[in-house]
Order: sequence, then C-alpha cells, then structure tokens
Amino acid sequence: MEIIIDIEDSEPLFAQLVTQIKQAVLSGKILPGDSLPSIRQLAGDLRLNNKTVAKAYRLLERDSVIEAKGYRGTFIHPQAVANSTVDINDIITRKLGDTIQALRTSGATDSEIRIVFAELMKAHQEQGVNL
Amino acid sequence: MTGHTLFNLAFLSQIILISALLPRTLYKRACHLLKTYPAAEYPRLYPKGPGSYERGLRRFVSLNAAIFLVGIFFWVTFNLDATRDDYAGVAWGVFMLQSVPFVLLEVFTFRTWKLMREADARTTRKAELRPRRLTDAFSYLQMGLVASVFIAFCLFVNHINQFGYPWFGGWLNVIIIGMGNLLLAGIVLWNLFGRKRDPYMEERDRLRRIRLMARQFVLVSVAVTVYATVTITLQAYELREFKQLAMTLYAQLLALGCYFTIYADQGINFEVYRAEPVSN
Repeated sequence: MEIIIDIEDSEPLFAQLVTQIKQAVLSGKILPGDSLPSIRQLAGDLRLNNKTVAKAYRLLERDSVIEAKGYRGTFIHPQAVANSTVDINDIITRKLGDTIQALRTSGATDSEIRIVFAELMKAHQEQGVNL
Repeated sequence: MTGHTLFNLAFLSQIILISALLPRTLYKRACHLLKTYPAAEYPRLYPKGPGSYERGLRRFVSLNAAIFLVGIFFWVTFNLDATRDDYAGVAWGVFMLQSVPFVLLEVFTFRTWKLMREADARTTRKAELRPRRLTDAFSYLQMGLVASVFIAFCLFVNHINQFGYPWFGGWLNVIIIGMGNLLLAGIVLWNLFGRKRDPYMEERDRLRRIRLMARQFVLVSVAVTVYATVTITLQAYELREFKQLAMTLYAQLLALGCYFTIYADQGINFEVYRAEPVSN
C-alpha cells in the first residue's frame, strides 16, 4: 500500500495523510491489526517534518483508527473500519453552526462570539487540551 | 615454494586486482550505463550534467592508474630488497591507498543523491505504508553467523591467552572487531531506518540495496574475524612470513566480496530516472 502526498495541494499535509490512511482502511488495503511505519520512517520517506506525521498519527489515534502499542509500534485499530467513516470535521461544523445560530438568536453579535470563542480556545490551550 | 615467494605473487595479484581489474570492470559498467541511459532521456540520473560524470570517471581511472604504479614500485622494491622479510605493513598500506578511489566513489554517490534531492521538482511524494524491520536487511542466518563467528573468536582469544599471547592477549583485537561490527551494523541500520537518500529510487530497489549492504557487512565481519584468528595463530607459531600472505589474500577477498555485493548489482530500475512526459 502506497501513500502519495502532494506538497502543493491546498489540503494540509497531515490531513492528506489522515484521509489516505482512512481510505486505505475503508477499501481494505490495510486491515485491522496491520502495523504501520514509525513516524520517523514515514517522515523520512516522504521527506516531511516528523511533527507533520506525528500530528496525523495523533488525529488517527484520537479517532480510534490506529492504536500505539508502546515499543511494539503503531497498528490499525480493531474497529478502524467503523471509526474511519466518522468525520470529526463534519461533526464540528454541524455543532458549531448550531451554537452560532442559537447565540445569534439570543442577541449575541458576531464579534462577541468570536472574542469569547478565542478566549475559550486560549484557556483550553493553557490547560494543555490541544492537538 | 616459500612464504616469501607466495607473498610476492599474492601482493602482485592484489595490486593488479584492486587497482587494475576491478576499476576497469567498474569503468566499463559506468560507460555502459552512460550509453544505455543517456542524459537526454534520463536527466534525473545526471543532476550535474553528464560532463561531470565523465570527468569523475576519468579521475577515477587516473587515480587507480597512479596507485597501480605506486603498488608496482613497492612490489619491485620488495623483490630487490632481500634483507627485509616483513612486508605485511607495506601490503596493508598499499591496500589502504587502493581503497581511496572507492571511498571517493561513495562520496561522489552521496553528493549525487543530495543534488538529486535538490533538483527534484515533483510535487508528489510516495512512501510505502509498511514498517521496515531489522529482518528486511539481515536474515536470521546472517545475524547468527556474525554472532557465532565473533563468539568463537572470543573463545579462541581466551584459549590463546593461557599461553601468554602478547598485545593484551588478543583482547585488543576483540575490542577492535567488536567496535567495527557495531559501526558496520550502524551504517546498515542508518540506511534502513534513516531518510531516503535517492528521491527516485523505488522501495523495492532500496530494500535490495540495503540487503546487499548487509551481506557486505556480514562478509567483512566474518573475513576480518577469520583474518585476525589466522594472524594470531601464525604469530603464535612464529610463521611470520605467512602472516603477510594472509594479509594480502584477506585484502583481495574483501575487495572481491565488496565488488560482487554492491557494485555488480544489476537489478536497478533505471526507468525512475527517465524524464517525465511533457503534459499539454
């Protein structure tokens, strides 16, 4: 199974990796339990920064598409096929859209929403709840 | 036939093999590659242009010719000087000198890969979604062979130590060979797990080259251990004239082994270096 990334694509590199690994799981090219290359190996082969691949792996692990097993390496999660269909971006878009709509209805202005949203994000980042 | 005469012949064979025959074979192969894969069709193979390769090739031939003459000079001196009986140092020195063009060839290859990476204008990059493992480079048989030969050497040194063998009782050899093994294994692992050097090389070719490199490592490790064992034995039995013979035979075996593992590699897919078709 080959990963192909386009460095001039408008889609971020980590997102290309996430999408392609999910597609490979859905198409059955990689199966639950299969091992994945290390972050260093994949970054070296694709001539990317280790952090880019690490971010993609973190997102896939969050979505339970892959699982890290310490020194043994990274593997495809047993429920990866079901979990690969879950689109977090879609959920975020929907939930934030609903919230913004509700806030506007209650009289909040766009700038107030933006300020509070930025402050909340900052507070979460300070608590270390970021990716 | 005395050890002196045998060494005489073996030393001459070392000079001819490493500074004439192997460079000639490599030169012919390089010329064949330049002809079969011309820069017009395979521009990725020549990031500095074909002229630089032809110049480098001419330098490689000239350097080997010069070293050949130096070797012949020492060989003639050895034949004229009947008073000296220990020429192992000279044969070793000549071997070191003979290695220089091959080391420079490796440096040239690394530089070429660097230039290839810089010149690579493709926006897409590919990678296999499969982890590389130690067993991709070394088979269990190879690992077992290196380990058992090294352990056997340690036991041999321990045995010979009981008879008061000089030079730290041979333990210095154990340390040097052990460190050499670690260094060679490190180079193979660096190639296996490190960054991709040649941006165009296919994963299949890359793994095959790493396996050839590992085979070369096994050969060097076993050869150096056997050579050290033979040297210690000859020293212990005071057969010094055969020691220099062992040295020059070892050098030739090493050169041939390296040639047949890496340089004689014929399976490279050169199509990856072909110019991309111009899209309308």
